[in-house]
Amino acid sequence: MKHLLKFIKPYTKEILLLMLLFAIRSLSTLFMPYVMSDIVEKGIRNSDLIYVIKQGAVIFALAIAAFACALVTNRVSSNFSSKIAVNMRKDVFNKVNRLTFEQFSEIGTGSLLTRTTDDIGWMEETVSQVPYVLISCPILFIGGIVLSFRGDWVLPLILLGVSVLVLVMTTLICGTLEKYWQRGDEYTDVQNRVIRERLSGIRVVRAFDKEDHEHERAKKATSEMCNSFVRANTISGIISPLASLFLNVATVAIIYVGAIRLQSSETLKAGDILATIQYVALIANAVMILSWTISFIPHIKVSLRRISAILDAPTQIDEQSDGEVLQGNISFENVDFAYGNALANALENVSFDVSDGEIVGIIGGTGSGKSTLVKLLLDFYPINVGKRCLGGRDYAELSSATVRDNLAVALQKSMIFEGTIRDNVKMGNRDATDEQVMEALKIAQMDEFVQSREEGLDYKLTQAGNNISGGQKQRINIARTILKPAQVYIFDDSFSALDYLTEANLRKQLNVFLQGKTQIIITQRAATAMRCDKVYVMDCGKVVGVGTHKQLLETCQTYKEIYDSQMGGGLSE
Amino acid sequence: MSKSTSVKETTQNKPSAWKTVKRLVRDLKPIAWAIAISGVVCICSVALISIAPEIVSIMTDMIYDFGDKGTPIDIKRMGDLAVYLALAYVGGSMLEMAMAVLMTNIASRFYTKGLRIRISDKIRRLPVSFVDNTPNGELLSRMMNDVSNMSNTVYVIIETLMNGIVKIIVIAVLMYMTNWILATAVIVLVPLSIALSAFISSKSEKSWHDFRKVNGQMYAFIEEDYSGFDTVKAFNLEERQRAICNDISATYRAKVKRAYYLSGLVQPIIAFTNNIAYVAVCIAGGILAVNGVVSVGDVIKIILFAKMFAGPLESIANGMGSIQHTLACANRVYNLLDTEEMSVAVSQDEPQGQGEVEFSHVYFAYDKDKPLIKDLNLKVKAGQKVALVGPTGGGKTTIVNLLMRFYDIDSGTITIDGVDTASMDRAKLRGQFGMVLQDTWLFNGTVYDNIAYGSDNATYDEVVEAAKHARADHFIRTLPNGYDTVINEESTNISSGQKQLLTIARSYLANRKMLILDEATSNVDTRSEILIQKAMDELLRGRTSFVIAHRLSTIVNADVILVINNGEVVEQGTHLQLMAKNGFYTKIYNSQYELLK
Repeated sequence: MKHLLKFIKPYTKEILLLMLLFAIRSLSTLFMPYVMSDIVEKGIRNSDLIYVIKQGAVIFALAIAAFACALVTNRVSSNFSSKIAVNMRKDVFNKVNRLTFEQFSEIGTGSLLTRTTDDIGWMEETVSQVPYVLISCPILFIGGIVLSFRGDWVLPLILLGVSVLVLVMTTLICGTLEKYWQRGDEYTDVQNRVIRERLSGIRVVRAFDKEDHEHERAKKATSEMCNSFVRANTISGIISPLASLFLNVATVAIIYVGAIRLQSSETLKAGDILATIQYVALIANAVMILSWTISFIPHIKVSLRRISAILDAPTQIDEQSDGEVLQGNISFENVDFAYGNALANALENVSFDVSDGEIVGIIGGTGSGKSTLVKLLLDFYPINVGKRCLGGRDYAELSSATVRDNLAVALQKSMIFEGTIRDNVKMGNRDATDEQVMEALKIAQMDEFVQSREEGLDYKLTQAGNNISGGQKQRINIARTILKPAQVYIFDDSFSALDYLTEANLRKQLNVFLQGKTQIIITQRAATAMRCDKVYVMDCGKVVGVGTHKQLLETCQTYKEIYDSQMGGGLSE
Repeated sequence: MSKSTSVKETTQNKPSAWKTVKRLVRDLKPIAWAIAISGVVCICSVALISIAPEIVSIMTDMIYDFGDKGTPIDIKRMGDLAVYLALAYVGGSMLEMAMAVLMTNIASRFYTKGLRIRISDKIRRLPVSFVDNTPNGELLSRMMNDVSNMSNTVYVIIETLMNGIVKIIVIAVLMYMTNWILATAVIVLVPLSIALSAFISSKSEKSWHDFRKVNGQMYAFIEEDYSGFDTVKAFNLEERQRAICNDISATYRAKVKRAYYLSGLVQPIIAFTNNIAYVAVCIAGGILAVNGVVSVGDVIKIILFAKMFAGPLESIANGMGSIQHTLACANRVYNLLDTEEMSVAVSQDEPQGQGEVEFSHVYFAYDKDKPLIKDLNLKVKAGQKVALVGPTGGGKTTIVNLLMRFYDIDSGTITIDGVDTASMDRAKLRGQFGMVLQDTWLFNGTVYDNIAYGSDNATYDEVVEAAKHARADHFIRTLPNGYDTVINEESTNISSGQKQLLTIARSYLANRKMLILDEATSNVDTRSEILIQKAMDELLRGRTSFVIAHRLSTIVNADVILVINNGEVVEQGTHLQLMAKNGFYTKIYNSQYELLK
């Protein structure tokens, strides 16, 4: 609720205006039966036609007022509800981008996606009702009751009692709905996830002939989702006929009781009973709107809770980069690190030292902790024990954004965004000129491809770079990385999809381009590592060797094995 | 890859609204019986509820007689009438509830769910090229968002139109039975208000289309951002993404505002015309009552009827307002359902041989202007290990795409054991191959289920055995829950190399006649690779296999090495033959030592 209020607050003025207009509209509706009852009482009964016409004009004026108000409210309210939803979505989206990796994985991509889209869309549809409900219901309700007290106190009491009964009943029924909405939303997440997985793995799914299985999974999630929503909708669908039943029965009671009391009362007039019946319709209207709104509350509550889980997630305080330019020396001292709930440490007592301008290789087997190291360098996770330094500054004193601003990293997974080649490369440096972009692409050995396309840099890459090869994706990723101005460049297995010829050319030009910059090259290839100034060898999350290629061949068994496994066969032939 | 039109393009040729309406109606056929039942229920409930004013007017007449002439009220009769009235209300409401329950159930179970299942079913038959070209978020927005909006409004439309029309007719009849002059005063405005609301609704059509479109873009953008979460962080792209999000949001807001504004106009206009009718009835009723033409009770009755008229009229108007929204959503959903599907197999032939593969005069282009594979000829004997080498982007992976028929060739033939793959059932064709791709794909499930994917009948021991062969067993056992460890949605809880090991185990277990390995071990360290290689060699023995690898140590022992550059086989032969040629292959081979210099 707190969040909803936060988003609504900036629009207090609009809301007040809306409330005012709704008030006028409701009041004019409220007075119509009042005037009408006068027409019957004073006009028709006294055969006063002039009076009838005069009062008719009053009703007409009221109708015009209501119409004018409605036109304005429609404009203001469509403006206001779309603004709130869009602002909320922007905030949630930006917040997701600032979540930590643990927080992100805990909710999961699919669920984050539904929360940002569907849950907020749902709010958008309902939020515009808020001012209307807030103002119209009380006015219609209280006004109806007060006006009907004119002649007698018993009749309105019946009305009041039944209304309260209806509202209590609605609230009680709706209380049971929350769990269905909750479950329905969870299965929406599941369905999203299943379809996303299926689309992104379409080749594997088809290769293993698992389309039927995937279809069944989707069907199951859809059915479960449907079951929950049907339950919720069925129950909330009953509320409104039930409410109208109670109110109708109240009408019956009013007429009957009214007739009895009419004979014995001196104040009660026949016209009053008639008016009261009219007010029942109004109050019924208010009660219906209210119970209809109450029936939405459980779903809104669930959606709000899901959104709040994102908005309330704690993030680091200092999220902006302060633009500080750091030197290119890096060190880790006795770093221990374990992922969330993992039993074993992913890194154990890792120490290393990279001086400014040095080219350092990190080599190791599958699961040796190389990529974890990159994630820690980027401050994706906090460490458990030890100390990390960049440019002589402790990570603890630096904001994550500052750290990342000073590192240019080609991640192992070459993420391509839908858009032009230029857009994708310029992610490294938004201010880069086309010449700079081309230069980076040239070093990444991607210039030929770009030149061979008619569109050049405007060549459109589809989602996840589906229209280019794995090697081309890696090269765009590399171009993006070297375009970024930084003192430290990190390449996480970034050459794995490149053939040796391309890699050789690329590395040659890279070393010229990145002259004087620190380079950290994570690799499996001894051939790649051996050209570094210094190589760290990792195995099972520990550093097991350090030195130059030559030194390591003599001192480090792991390194020798890696080297032999790659070069042994080839060189001896 | 403009090989097939993506969804985005197809939305532009918007079919006529009338066509979509007809199709919507046709799609409602399976639930026609439910609609019919609810129609009957609806008429009954309206009839019951319409009796009520009759009774009310008798009762109020009695009250007035007491007020005017002092005629004592017959309390017993009043009591009886009250009971009838209550019964009418109870009966009407019960029926209304029954209808609500019926319609929610039917609409959701048969309609919403049915549409989603149809889309999921459609995905089975979508060409890979279509999926490659369409953002996941775009498809998701259609399946989730558009469908749910479509069915919500379909439900509203059915309910309100049915309810509204029946109510209006019944009320009109009753009014005419009471007094035709007053009745005409009320009814005359009906066609006017309906025409008005239809006019406004048609104005809102375009804005709904625009809104649904930008909604799909929003979905796609957010989906992509969340998929690339680590890249966004590593490059501090939050600001860039925020700016794009702001842009899309601005368009989104403009569209949604306009759409809602135009649709929102309908209700007040109807309410206004209705209020005018109300005034007319009051005045005309007053005149008639004063002149004694109509009893006061009848005037009251008509006034009550006029009020009752407002409800269904407004809901019909609202229904018309949402029709445009439904059409916009339905259009997008139908567009997806209409996407051209993969061709159906013409023959049920299955290759019976040992896996002889032949490419003859194969031409292929993703992009019509850019032919990629030109006149590819290739003959692979059963049991041969074929290595594909060459620069990236040269067409190696494309050959895999064609072999597996993820994409169809433009001309030429590919045969397996003499059977043309173009006429084969795709599932049977793909069943011939085990495949490990560079882009590993794991789903959010246990390690065990991921390995057993594609081998439904595998026993636990077989899964473990496969994992051992893929050198994955050891690391799996170090995971928090061993084989029961759940791979998270982003697959970030295991390393890239480990992911590859799992996909290798998966292929090992599937045990197919032929194998395709596309950079299957690029993220696996070489020591493990050599061990896997041994297992692979065992597996490959006697099987035809296609291997793409940059590590030449993986391919030197291949039976045939195809050197592919710019979509053509430029050299072909064994390692020794090709080295002797001293051509392109030798250059590639020597380049790995280039790095050592």
